[in-house]
Amino acid sequence: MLSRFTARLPFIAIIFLLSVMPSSNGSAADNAESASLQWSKTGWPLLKNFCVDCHNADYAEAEIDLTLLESLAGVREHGDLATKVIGMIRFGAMPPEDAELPTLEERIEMSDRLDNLVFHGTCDLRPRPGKTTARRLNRTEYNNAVRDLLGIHWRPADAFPSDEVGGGFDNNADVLSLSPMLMDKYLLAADKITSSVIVDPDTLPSVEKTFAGTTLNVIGETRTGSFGQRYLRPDGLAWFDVEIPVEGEYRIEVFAVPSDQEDGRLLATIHDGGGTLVAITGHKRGEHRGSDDRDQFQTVLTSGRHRFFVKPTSIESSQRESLVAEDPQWKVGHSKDERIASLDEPVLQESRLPGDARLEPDGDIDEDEFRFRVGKVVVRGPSERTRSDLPPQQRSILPKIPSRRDNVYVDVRDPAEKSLRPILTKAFRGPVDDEDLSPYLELVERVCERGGSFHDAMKTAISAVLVSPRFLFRVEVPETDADRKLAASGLVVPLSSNQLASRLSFFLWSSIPDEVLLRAAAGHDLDTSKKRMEHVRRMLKDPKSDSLGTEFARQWFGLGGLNGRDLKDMIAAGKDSDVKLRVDDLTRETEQLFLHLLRENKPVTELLTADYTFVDSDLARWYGLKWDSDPSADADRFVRVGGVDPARPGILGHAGVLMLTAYPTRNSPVQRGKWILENLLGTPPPDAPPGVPGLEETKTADANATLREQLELHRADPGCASCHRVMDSLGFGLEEFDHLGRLRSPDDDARREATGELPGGRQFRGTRELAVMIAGSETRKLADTAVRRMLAFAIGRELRPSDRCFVETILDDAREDGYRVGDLLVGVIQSPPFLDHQAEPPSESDVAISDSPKKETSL
Amino acid sequence: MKSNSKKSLPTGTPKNLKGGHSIARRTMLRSAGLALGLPLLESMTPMAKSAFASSEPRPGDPTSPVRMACVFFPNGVINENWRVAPELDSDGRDVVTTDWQLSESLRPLANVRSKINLIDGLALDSGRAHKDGAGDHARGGSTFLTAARPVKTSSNIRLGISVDQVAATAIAGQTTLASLELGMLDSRNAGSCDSGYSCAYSSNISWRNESQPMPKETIPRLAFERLFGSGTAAAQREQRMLRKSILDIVRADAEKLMKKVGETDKRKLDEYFTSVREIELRIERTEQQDRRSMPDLEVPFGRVSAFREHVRLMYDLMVVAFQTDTTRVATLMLDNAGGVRAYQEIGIKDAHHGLSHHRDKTENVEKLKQIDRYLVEQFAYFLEKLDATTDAGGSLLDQSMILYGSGLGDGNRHTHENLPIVMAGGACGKIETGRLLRYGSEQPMANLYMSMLQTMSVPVETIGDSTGTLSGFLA
Repeated sequence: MLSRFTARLPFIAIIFLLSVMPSSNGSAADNAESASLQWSKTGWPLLKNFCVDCHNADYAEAEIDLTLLESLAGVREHGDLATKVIGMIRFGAMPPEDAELPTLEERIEMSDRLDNLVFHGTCDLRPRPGKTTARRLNRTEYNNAVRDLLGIHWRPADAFPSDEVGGGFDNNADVLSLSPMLMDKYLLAADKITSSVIVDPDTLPSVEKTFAGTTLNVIGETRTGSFGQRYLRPDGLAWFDVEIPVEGEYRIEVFAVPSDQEDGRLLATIHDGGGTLVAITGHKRGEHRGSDDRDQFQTVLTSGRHRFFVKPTSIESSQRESLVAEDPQWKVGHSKDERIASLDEPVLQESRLPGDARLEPDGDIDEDEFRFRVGKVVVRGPSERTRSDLPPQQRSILPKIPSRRDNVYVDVRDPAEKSLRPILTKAFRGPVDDEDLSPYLELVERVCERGGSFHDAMKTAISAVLVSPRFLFRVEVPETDADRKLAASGLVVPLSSNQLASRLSFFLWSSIPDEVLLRAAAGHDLDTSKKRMEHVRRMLKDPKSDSLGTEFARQWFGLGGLNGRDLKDMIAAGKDSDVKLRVDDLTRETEQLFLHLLRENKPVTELLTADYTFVDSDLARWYGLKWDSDPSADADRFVRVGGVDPARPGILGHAGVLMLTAYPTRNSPVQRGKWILENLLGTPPPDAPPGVPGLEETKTADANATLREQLELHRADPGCASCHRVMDSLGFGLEEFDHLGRLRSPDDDARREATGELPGGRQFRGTRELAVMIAGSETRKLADTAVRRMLAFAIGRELRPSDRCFVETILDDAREDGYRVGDLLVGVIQSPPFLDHQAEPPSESDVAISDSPKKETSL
Repeated sequence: MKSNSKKSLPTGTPKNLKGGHSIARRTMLRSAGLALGLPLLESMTPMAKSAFASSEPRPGDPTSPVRMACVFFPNGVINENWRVAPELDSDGRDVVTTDWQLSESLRPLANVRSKINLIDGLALDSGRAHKDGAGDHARGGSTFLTAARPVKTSSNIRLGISVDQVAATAIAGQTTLASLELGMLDSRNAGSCDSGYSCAYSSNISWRNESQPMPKETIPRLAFERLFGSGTAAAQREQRMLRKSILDIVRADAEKLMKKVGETDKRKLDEYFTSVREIELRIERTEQQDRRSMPDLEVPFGRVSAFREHVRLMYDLMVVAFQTDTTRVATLMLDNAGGVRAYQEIGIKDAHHGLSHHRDKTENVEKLKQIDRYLVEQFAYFLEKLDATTDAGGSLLDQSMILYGSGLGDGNRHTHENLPIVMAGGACGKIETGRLLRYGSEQPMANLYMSMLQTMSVPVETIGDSTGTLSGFLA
């Protein structure tokens, strides 16, 4: 059995691994015409002979009609079909083993000729950049966008239904849909978000307290004026306690008048409970029959009870400056009044009038003795700007608060515009004109007019921004008349600067552009390649570009499949059983390797050959790696470490990948092989034909059969054999690891199975040899996969056959330097599908808008 | 009726009314019936039936609940245009008559003349300065429904319970809201507003107890919500409003976008429209259900800046509140005491309070007359609307008693006697209407409250400085 397997392996493997890339193969036909000629001469007759019997117009098995591919025109039109056919032939998946089979050479001839024709058929014409459908933000993009827009760090979109995945990524325009339920969630989330960043201070505790009459206590003999004013002797003190609800700046107004016939003002000093001078007020001298003279100061108070003393002086306010400058007794915030500091609480309490006391006005007050009259002291606050219980973002979101008349906010339009214009510009990712803005401003006005607070009005307006299609959808339409003309005549339209800014930010940050990028777009900086690249470099340095790990790399390698995996067994099986391993640790290792290769611009092959990895303390302990236990270091931070077991090269040694490609209780060389084919070599095997039993259901010859023997039995089925040979051979290369990603011990029987053979009779033993061999001979395929994945993620659509033309150009440009990851990413950004599009002209068809409901009760 | 009524007469006893020659027969019959103490239900029910059958307007059904409303205006009136004849005769005895002519200021009440009483000779002694000095406006406002003396303070306010709150407390639980407090201008409940009196005194006529003023609702919509929406219903309504406003805006954004996009994008954006539409429909349905449970009154959202529209909405609200029996007690302050509104709508640019110190300047006096009449016009709107609203118990006006007046007599001199007082409505037959009651000697306003409470069967021994019920007032 074993011998049969090894004998047949090279047959298929050679086909799929040695297939040529037209642009890198000089012997290939160098234009569509000659490719077409060759196809007619040698390719098509073979296809016709082996395949068309079952796949023709009259009898189209599996609904496939291969006669469509007879001519260049047909291949051009049916590129998808041609691409699929090439894959099936190379894999040996077709024709089925019970049919007449082509020889190896015939397979190569058929597939290469067709491939050639597809390439030249599309790429010799001016290849079209394609179009990305209007797409809504996915959950991550929504979370990141509101983070960058309003500074919130919780993730509101995690409550949304999960996004569909198309073409391997969850940012695929065609599958991202919007249901009424999601709309509900958008509205709810907008409420929650705006409520978390804007709070009406009127709904928060504040103080407006008047201390006068019985509530203004006096130490020393006192008299009562006819309006309840308290009279003090020159050595008297007035005092009160006030409960402060929240830290902030409070305004204290002192209404007082020193009795005097002369002009000018006399100073009074205000002290806190400990006697410290907190303020100096000045009060106009006058007759006591006159009104009180008001002076005020602002002071920052913490929450809790505060005590204040008002102490009259006989000092002219003209001396204030010199006293404050020179006299140590007059240092606000420092100087201490010893008498006040030493007042005993009982003395103070004695001066407090009982709650039900009534002050009867005294007649004939001797104003020479009772020189200082305090009408009242008013404590108000905290001021909105200073209060400590508002959301930290509020001040920047609402830079200006309008004034109020009769409790109604008035003249709100200008403050609303100051706030909303930058928010709309950022949220809508481009300049907004007055026409865009005014409905939002009018909403604010209407809410305020009907007595709502400015804050509530702004919450509503910003909620509307967050539900607007201009925020939720990325729509790329021509922005100038010139571009509209191009679009109408079906020509390629370059994306506008703003659209490019969004493409860059959503690609590199999974979020909206920042101000710098928007400014650059406004200045058309992104239109030139050099300046564009400056921004790309800046953006990659920004930690926000970690999203290329968490969003792009994670999906590229299918790491999302680890979600929900129970790591209990894995943790128990680790070297250190008290390690707290999470799925996130496993995926981050791989994400970090990718980010490293990208930012350091390393050859893509290092993905397979890296002799270092990225771990946090938990993962380091699980691998048994030395972890620099600097106590100040964040244990959750991922750092690069060397000293990785040589048997664990690059991504194929990552525990997460190994676990992802295994069943919970046992390995699956099939899945591992399939994973390598799909995610590293970009040649996903065709789906299993219907009705094929799984490995478990395959009749087992012997209960003690090895996994390899079982798989061979499975392959005895002609429907399975062709593909499995390829997958299984690669997968067995990873048999050195068990299903939890642990390296098996050297004496483990299973480890001996970790062998295989690559084209050209290249035998490998173990993961490392496999990794090095693939990296050495399949470099371009690896780079091709990377570019295709990046491009699909960057432009939000599945690639079409013609996109291959652009991919090949990117690869050609990067070849000389060994296909470095950063270069590949730059190549993607500089490619026509990223920079241009085939814009649709505005549709004339009726907008499918149902009648809006009556607006009578709308604002 | 004797002029000295300090020793209050036994209430409920019909008196011989001096000059009362033309009392309607029906009224006499009813009065007699009450005097004879016939079982009310039995005696009235057949009448009620026949009245119903013949669609004749009837005086209030005594089995219906009596509704009380009190409307305050500040700064007194110009007596010359307010006061109606006949005057007291030479011996100074009380005048009670149905034979009187509406004065200039009261002319707007012509349509409801037979359903009101004018009372002259009431005073609020607690409003007078005595030893407390200045602050007549604060005292005039605060005593208006309490007849209690306010403690002169800017912080530890102390007054007394107001007549509406006595009633509200007694009948609490019988209606959704025990009482409704409306105003045209927000209170300033902090600091002092008048010569050392806390603003609470000037801003509130309704006091739940001696230290707790009842805050006013000044926004009609919020009053409406208070009456007809529970807290959550109102909040949900508000939420729906905001949702709809948001959807209006984003729909417009989407429509603009739709004009620019091609076929494929349009299909995607259609999902957006469909979703928006579905939510709009849902809101619409909920609103329809909600509206069915609400009285038929359009109340705009937000503040209403035009005085006339604002005050009429407030009166409308009191009508629907009584009509639906959501509450039986309501107060309305047309302005705070010492109010400074400029009645721009009738071309008066000066502040009311400033004008009220007219010093007999003709120009100012004329303006004040206009204001007095203008306010009465609005009050007439209220009464006519109440009268036009009928149920099985008759017209709402016949089932109500509506006090309209000021805490000051002469605004120029800050007098607290000869208060301008109109008492409208028959209180379900308990108050005879169409009369002028002119007392030869000063009567405590509090005695009127005692009488009013009696019609609502709310027993109290005293209120404010009352000495008994108001003689001759009740049927």
